Parts: sequence; C-alpha cells; structure tokens
Amino acid sequence: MTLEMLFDMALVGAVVVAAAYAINAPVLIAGVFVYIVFGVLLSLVWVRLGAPDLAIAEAAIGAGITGAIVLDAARQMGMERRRNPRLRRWPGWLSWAATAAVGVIFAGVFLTVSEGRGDLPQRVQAELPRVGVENEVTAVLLSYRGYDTWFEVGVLLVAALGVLALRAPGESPARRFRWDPPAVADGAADMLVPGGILMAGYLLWQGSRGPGGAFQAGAVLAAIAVLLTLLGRPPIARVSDRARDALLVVGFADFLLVGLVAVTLGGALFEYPPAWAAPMILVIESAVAVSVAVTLSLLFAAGGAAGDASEGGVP
Amino acid sequence: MTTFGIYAVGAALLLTIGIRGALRRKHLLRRILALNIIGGGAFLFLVLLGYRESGEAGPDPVPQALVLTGIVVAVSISSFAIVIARRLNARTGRTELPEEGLD
Amino acid sequence: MSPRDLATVLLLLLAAFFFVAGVLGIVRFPDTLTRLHAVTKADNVGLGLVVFALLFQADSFLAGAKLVLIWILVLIASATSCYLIAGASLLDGDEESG
Repeated sequence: MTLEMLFDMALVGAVVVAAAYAINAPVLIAGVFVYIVFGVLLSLVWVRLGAPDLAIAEAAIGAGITGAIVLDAARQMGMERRRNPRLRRWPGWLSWAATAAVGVIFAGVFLTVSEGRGDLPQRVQAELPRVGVENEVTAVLLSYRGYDTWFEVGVLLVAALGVLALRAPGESPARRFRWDPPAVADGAADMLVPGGILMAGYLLWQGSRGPGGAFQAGAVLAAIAVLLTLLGRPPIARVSDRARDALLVVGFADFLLVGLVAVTLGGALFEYPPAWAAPMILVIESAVAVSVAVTLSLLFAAGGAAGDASEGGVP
Repeated sequence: MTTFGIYAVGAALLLTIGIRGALRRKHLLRRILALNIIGGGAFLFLVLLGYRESGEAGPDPVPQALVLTGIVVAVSISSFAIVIARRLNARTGRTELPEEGLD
Repeated sequence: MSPRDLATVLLLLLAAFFFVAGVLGIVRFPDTLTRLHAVTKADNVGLGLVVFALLFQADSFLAGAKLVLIWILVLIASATSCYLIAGASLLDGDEESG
C-alpha cells in the first residue's frame, strides 16, 4: 500500500463518517456543524481528483452558503420532541439488510466502471482556441454546454421567486437579526468586506484562465452579504424591490441576449464567433455572477419566518 | 485497490447513507441534509468518471462542469425546501411531516 | 532532498504537532473557553507554519504573497469568531446560573 492510497482512504473515511454523523447526530445542531465539515472535506476530495473549480464552489456554496442557511434554520427548528426520531415502518434487521443491499449494489456497479477513457478531454482541448478562454471547465460551462448553464441560472431564478412567493406577510430581510453586534464583529466585517469584493472580482477575471468563474465569484459576494445580514445590515434591503428583481433576472436575461447576438452573427445559440468569444463570455459571466450573488444572499436573508420567536435575537 | 476504487466505494457509501437517512429520519432538516449527501455521492461518482490516473490528457472537464452546475442547483433546491420547512414550523410548530396512521 | 524541501517538511511536521495538540484540546478540555483556547492555537500557529512551509515551494513572489494573505484572512476570521463564541458562551452561562 502506498502513502497516497493511505491518504485517499483516510480522506474518504473522514467524508463518509462526517456524512453519517451529519444525518444521525443525537443533537440536530451538532449534525449541522458536521455537515459543514463534510462540505469542506468534499472540497479536499475535489482538489485530490484534479477539479479545483469544484473545490472553490464546494467550499463557498456547498459548505459556506448551504451551511449558513441550514444553521439558521436549525436555530428556529432545532427542537425535537424526542431525540432524533425516526420512522419505524420496518423492523431494524430488515432496514439494515435493505441498506446493505443498496450499498452493495451501488459499490458493485461503480466498481465495474473503470475510469474514463473517452476522448472528450482531447476534443475540448482541440476546440479551446475557438472559445477564447483557457480554463476548460469555463469553456464547457459557457460555450460547449451553454444550454445547461443557462437553464441552471434559470433554476436559481426560480428558487429565488419561490422564496419570495413564500414570504410571510410583512416580513423583510431588514427585520432579521436585529441586535447590537459587538464592535469586534463590525470591525472584522469592515476588513473582510472590501477584501471579499476584491476576491470576487479576481475569481471572475481569473475564471477564463484558471480555477474560478462566475459561480465562485457570485458565491464569495453572497458570503459577504450573509456576513452583513448577520450583523443586521443586509445589503439586499438597501435596494428597492424593483431593483432587486432586476438583479435577480439580469444573469438569465443577459445570457440569452448574448446567445441571441451570436445567432445574428451567424452561429447557433451560444456559438460565439471566435473573434468575439472572450469578451462575450466575460459579459455573460459578469451578469451571472451578480445574479448568483443576489439570489444566494436572498435565499439566506429571506428565509426567516415572521412571528417566529427566534427572530430578532442573537444569531 | 486503486484510487478510482477507493473513491468509488466512498461514493457508494455516501449514496447509501443519504438514502437511508432520507427514508428513516423524520426531522425535515435532517432529511434535507440527507438529500444533499446523496447529491455529494452522485457528484463524486461523476467527477470520478472524468478522473485520469495516468495519461497525458488532464482530467475530463465535462463532468466537472456538470457537477459545478449540480452544486448550484443543489443549493437552490435545498434552500427552497428549507424555506417551506420553516413556514410549516412557524405555522404549526412541527419539525416533521404528519404521518397518516403513524406517530 | 534539497534544503528547500527539508525546510518545508520540518515546518509541516511542526504544524502537524500544533494541529494534533489543538484537536486533543477540543476533545479533552472541559468547557467552551478552554476548548477555544486550544483550537485557536491550532488555527493561528498551525496554519501559520503551514503557510511558512509552503512559502519555500512558491515559485513567485505573487504566489507567496497570496499564501500570506490567506493566513491573514484566517487570523481575522478566527479571532472574531472566537470572540463571538466566547461571548455567547458567557451569556449562556449567565442564564444557567441566574
């Protein structure tokens, strides 16, 4: 056994244990913390498997934003009448047998597949000069599979609309987390906010050449918004509802618009002419980053329930 | 066992743990966490398909882009689900779905 | 092994010592404040040593500067969250005794 395999086994073992504890922890809030650890460990897995773009996205979105949203919800509904109740439709031995069967089937099927041997990487590489970006993942996202990514931005928009539609009457993000944060927290925010904005810009610009891109940049901006929301000054409350809606939509609309421009220039939808591809992709990515940031921060800020006793208290 | 094998077994375990959790746990937040862990297992297997242990070509970027899409969709779905769960909790005080004939 | 690599290995080993000590502290110490004390040592000194170790491997000044920047950001974040957790635990303690 090599040292590398030992590392792989330790990492996979830690991920699996964290996942099991996150769901089954006796105390809900402890499980939520371990879920955040699970996200960070998973981003280490992405680094190990040669996917740094995913590592950034997982750390910022999977562990960071999702973690903050679940933690906030656990604060409201963390009480369980019984400790960690479970459904008991089946006797214990039967449910364990079924679990083992499912696990064996998955592992069996996965192990019959060997690592990829197709020529997709070579084909992506060959077409790169026509796309105008050097980061292959960005090229796949914005150009080769533009439809997927466009609809993905659409899913974000639908989630934002759903959250807005479910708002309790009279609820607004500005009314959440009304407390007097310690000066230390405000001071740290004053240092972290400009740094975070700079980092988001860097990730956006860097995304055409190295790991990074619209989603990572948007997630970092959203993280800043979450920080400010926790301190009682949510950025989302500073813009009018109309402006907020415009910011939610701009990524989806701009993506389509640039795609249509490509059509008028003689290509298919999202088939940018090589000479213009780089600036067109940057225009799309900038708008998508803004929409991702506003959507994710709305998903956190608008999640509170009016009339819920935990609102307005110390987070 | 190869690197591929180790991570493939990990992906299978994540899927199994997640499915068991989503079916057995009653608390809605735990179920949402379980769904995210199922997602993690599926993403791990997808990325693994594009992983190349040897060879000149780097890892396959196509599954990576798909998983990046998946991560963003997962956060949208889970936060929407959480908002619904919080509304239910604020209105009824419940943290679980009512079960016909059980409970 | 070149002197650079040797320096990296030694510093990483030292960092690992601090992380192990921090984890031991979380597991063994009795209450929030002493546990925080343990974990911040791991965060600040341990990560500092990791960054210092990696500086020997950085191929440009810019790459090294980014590593140091990561350490500074973590210092700010960890000091602040440590303060907030300590404050919240004191508040909780007051409620329990009062």
